[in-house]
Amino acid sequence: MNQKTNVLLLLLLVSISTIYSQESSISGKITDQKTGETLFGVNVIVKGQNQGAISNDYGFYSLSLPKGSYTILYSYLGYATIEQQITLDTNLTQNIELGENLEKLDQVVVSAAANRAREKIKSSQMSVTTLSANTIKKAPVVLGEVDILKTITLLPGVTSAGEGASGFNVRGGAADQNLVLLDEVTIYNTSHLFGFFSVFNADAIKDIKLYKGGIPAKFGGRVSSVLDVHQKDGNSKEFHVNGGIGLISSRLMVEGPIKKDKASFLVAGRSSYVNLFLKLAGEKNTVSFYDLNTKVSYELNENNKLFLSGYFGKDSFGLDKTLSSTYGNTSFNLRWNHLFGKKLFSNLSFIYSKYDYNLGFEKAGFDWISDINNFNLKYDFDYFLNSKFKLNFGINANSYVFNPGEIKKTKEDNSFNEEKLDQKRAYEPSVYVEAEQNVTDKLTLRYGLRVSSFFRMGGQTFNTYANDLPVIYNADFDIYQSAKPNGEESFDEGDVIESFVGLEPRASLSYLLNEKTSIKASYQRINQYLHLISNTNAPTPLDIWAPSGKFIEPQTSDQYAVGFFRNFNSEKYSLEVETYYKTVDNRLDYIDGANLIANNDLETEILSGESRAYGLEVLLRKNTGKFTGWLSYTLSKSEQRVEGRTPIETGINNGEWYNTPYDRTHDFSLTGNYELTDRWTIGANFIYQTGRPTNYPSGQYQIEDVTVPVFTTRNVERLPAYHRLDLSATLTPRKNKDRKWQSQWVFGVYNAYARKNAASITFREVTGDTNTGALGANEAVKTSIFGIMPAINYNFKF
Amino acid sequence: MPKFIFSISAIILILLFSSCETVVDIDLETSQERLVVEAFIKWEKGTAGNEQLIKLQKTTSFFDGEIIPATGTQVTISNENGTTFTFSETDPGFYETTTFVPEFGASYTLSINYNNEVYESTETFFPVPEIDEVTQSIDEGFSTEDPEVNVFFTDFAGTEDFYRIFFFQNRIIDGVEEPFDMENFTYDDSFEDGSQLSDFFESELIEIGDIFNVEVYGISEAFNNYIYLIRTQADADIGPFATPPVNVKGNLKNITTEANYPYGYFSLMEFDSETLIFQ
Repeated sequence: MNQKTNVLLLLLLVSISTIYSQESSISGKITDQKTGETLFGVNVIVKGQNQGAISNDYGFYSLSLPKGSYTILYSYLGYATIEQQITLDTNLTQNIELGENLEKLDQVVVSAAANRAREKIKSSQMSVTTLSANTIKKAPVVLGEVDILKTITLLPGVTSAGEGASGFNVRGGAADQNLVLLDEVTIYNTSHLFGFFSVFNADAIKDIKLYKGGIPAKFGGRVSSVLDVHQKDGNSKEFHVNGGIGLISSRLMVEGPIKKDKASFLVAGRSSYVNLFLKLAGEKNTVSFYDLNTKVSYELNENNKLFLSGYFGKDSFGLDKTLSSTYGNTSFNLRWNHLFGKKLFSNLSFIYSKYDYNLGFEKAGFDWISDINNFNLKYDFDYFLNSKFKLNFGINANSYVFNPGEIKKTKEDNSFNEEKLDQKRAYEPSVYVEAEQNVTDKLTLRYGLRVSSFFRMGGQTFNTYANDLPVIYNADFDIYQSAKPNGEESFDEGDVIESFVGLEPRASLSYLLNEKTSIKASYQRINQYLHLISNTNAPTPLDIWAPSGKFIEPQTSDQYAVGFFRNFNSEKYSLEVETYYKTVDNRLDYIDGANLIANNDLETEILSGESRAYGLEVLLRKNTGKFTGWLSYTLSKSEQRVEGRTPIETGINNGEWYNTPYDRTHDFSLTGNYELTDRWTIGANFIYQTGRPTNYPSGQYQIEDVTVPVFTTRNVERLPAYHRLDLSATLTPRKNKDRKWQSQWVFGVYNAYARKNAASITFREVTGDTNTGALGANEAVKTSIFGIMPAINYNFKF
Repeated sequence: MPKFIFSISAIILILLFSSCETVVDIDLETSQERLVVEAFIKWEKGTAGNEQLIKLQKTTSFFDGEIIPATGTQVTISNENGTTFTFSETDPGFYETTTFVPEFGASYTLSINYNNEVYESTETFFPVPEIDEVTQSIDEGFSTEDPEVNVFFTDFAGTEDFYRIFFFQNRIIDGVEEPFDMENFTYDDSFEDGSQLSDFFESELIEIGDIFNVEVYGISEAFNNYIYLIRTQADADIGPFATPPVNVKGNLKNITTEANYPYGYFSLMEFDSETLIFQ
């Protein structure tokens, strides 16, 4: 099937090239005039014609046109539009440097913004949000820093897992269903300090794209969303230092040319110093994080460019010298951009990433070590066939080694036997091809296929179970129980234990009703072969990733979405309305009281269920002017269920649908940014959200003087609604103008009206009199994590 | 390795260092009333084990402050040989016998007739190894400053065993059972088969002269899971890291009307105890 498809597409490609062979191409790369950073998403438009191209992730564009004379416009938000007269009689290379629009000629800004808004109307890509370096700078400031993850949770369809919790949820999906890529490397944990900060240092970030649906065939492996983050290449023209000093952490970035216009480097780091304060406060517990982004780029010649990027991040906690915990991502990516001719752009990436967490039990005398090692080879091609047809294709080969846990003695005299849970190994190769086609002036299509596969490899021993059922149903007491293994099977490293192949069709279309209005639709199927084994409402750093295999099937998701897009008032405002329906098969759920920690036989704790989510999203943006911002509203539902495997089994929650922990009926947010004067910019975010589903007791009894609550159906109650207002003010001193040293003060207040949002509601006995036979009256207690939190940051640049 | 899990919860608690608690009003639903059985048959090493107690109650609404005993109930346990031990009600909801005969590995069936419905369960008697010693120390444990009481016992080799350990602090004062501080762990030997196991109770509130009763029980894996579930349900939810709550059904079944299932557990276990006066 897969080979046939490739052959067919190749034929199609060849035939189309023949038809258009009378054309010549104009191609090149588009960079920032000041920094030399390549710019992605620049509109390259043939003036007076409804034709054009968009620069790719590496700033490359190519446009094929019949021989003749043209005026080409290069336009990009925040940059002055460039107009070029060209005569095309042979293939032309045209590298473009766009200058930032410093004069703030409103006219030009408006036209660039308008072009962008217009492009958004036309593009077949829906359910996507893009933030470029320029817009990231203007993104809302939370806790004194621009935080990319907190910014995306202000968009429709995206919610955070909760205050003080890491991860985010997209369109009712779980946090482990997000593919988070930093320079193409998978990041397994996106938060520092349990969600206080995201792992993305805004200084080092060039652009981000968040796909909630209509995910291009290039991406796979996670069913809910793709957060594609690119690091800056480093300034290839000038040496620059950029930093910020805050209350909790500080950051510093250094970038500059190694060889002017050819090679550049970037090093950016952040570190917290909460520990100092904790120590001063006499606190014995410690908490800290750091991260380091590094990148070197080298342009060998017109057709070849190399990049080496690295990311290192670590969080650590210490509990009064008895217990310590560290976790973090380490990754490297070596990339090679190569141009085959003028139309075929390629990128080859070799990626290594490691996510690890360790617990140290100093007193008990042992360490707990766990990690995931991942090698990934990617080869992606962008074929700019002509102004109406673009083809993206590529291969991707992932190899994983999961080391779910290992106990190492640190003291000789303790009674623990050293123990290592089985390493798990897997390969995930995939291939994709996708076409972007302007069928008519009004109709744009994108259609493609990804063929993914997953091979769970041997090199370990597996338990076998009676009837192949690692979880058995005890009908007498209506509970699911772990089965006892009835034997063992051994596999060599070369053995394939289980394999899966998934066909993942993707399709999107956009139809222009008029210049300002379009409708779009998309369908996607995605398979996810890795599962985060987590039975809590929000992920914790201690959760284990498990590959699909004999007893765990891959998750398969289908999503349908339709949308309406309109620009108003000369593109000053834009409106996006989307609805979606999404299903996920083989979503894991857990037996009651599942023991997921240090368990070698996770299959005995897992049941396979399904989930579904649907919703309506509205985003109204003001794109230009002194006041910019957006209003976002989502109405949605997210549910899951586990039915019995046989008619006598009841499943979980009697086999009925129940709310997922990330179900939020209403999610409203308002984000605004106002340029008050030359010196002052003020910003505000307001968020209102339905409370998280939870469970309240509906009765109680006592066993051994301990009160045991009784519950009704799962996740039917809700915490009180969540709402919050953040304010920020940025002061850019006037004296900046005539000097190299540029500074900025950022003042912020998180949760300005000190709303005590419920992180949880728990119940406790009022008095401790446990020996009288009385239960003691119970009361409900609300725990809130963040009160009002001020922040001051001093940022500088030279 | 019970403390392993407690420690993980502790890390998560760091997060809550800046948290704040407020008492709030919440309306709660009330579920169907059910029978609750606490039939924990305990046999101390070196005793006859003939005196046994079973407690019966009914579930009650969550904000009520009273236990509602289940009274007027017929309670019996019968063994494999057909001998039946009858439990009679001494206080409301308290059923006692003085004729029980414990035997390791033997199978016993509990039968309760309550409101014309019969509840049943069959279980096996579990043995326990002897306590090797109980010691006191200060340097060990989690903190080097707080005192702790340690217990050592040697695991049965070759089998997977589960233990439950209690540390009672000043349980008896002037011959009267007083409110006590109790620490309760279940212990799974899967990491340490056949070796000497130890556990400790550490508290800054231990004083010289405190009397500690340490009890180690041999229990079934199912009962171990049950106690773990009960304890998880009873412990405070710690926010987003809480696991979904469950109605913990034990090993009893309503054989008259299945839907009216009871809560509670029938377990038979041997235990060994040692006393230590903290010096």
